[in-house]
Amino acid sequence: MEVIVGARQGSYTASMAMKPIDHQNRPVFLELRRIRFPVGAIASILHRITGVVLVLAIPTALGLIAHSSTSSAHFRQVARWLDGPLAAVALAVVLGAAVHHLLAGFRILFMDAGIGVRLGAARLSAWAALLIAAASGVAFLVWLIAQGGAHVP
Amino acid sequence: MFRDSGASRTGLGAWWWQRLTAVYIAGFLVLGVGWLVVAPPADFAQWRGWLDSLAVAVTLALFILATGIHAYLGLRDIFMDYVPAGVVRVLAMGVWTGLVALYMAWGLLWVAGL
Repeated sequence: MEVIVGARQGSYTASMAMKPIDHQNRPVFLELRRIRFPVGAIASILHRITGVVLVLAIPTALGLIAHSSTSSAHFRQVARWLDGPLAAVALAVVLGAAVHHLLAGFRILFMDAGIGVRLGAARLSAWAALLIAAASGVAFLVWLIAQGGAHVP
Repeated sequence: MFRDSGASRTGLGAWWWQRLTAVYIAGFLVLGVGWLVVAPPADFAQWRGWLDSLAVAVTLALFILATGIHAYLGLRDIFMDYVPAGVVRVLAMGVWTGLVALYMAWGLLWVAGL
């Protein structure tokens, strides 16, 4: 087997490789109330889900910017669209998704550089990404409501 | 770093592009959204003034290219993981590639016409 230069103890080795699965008799456990994902798995799947949210949100945001740039009337029209409670919730969800995607992305970039790879640090950064994203979404929503909407003139 | 990485090198280019675009997008979003939240434009004239500057146009154009590449690679990974290889995946990738191309073309035309 090819040995990667710089492999440390605790690296992935051939002995850890997945064994062939007996597809007819493989164990199945789908009791949803008892399934527990590790926080890293939740951060990972949320990174994907928030990515899909942003695929929808970023072109929408650019479309709004484009529309608002065409005339003074369109500018005010976009401001009105962003001024309702529904828009405030949508903006907060998008912001929370963006913050999570950003932090989970930084987490991966640091791990690529070998920083925070060990289990304890990885779990901590996964929790931090989740909690900071949720907190910033909620804080942004409260701030928007306190101002009475998105408050674009 | 790797000796004779062979087939394992496939995808290394995509890996780098995903990270390069990620860093640009992160910088743009933190500065751009931060700016909009801290100092929203007072009126249309100020808003147009920002959008008319060459620096904003170049930054926006790069953002559109970066998000297009980043999203293309991200959804490509999702399709490769969750959609079994076959006609459905090929169709999904075809539609997705078309949408990304449309997004980039629309974005660059829009920025050029600003």
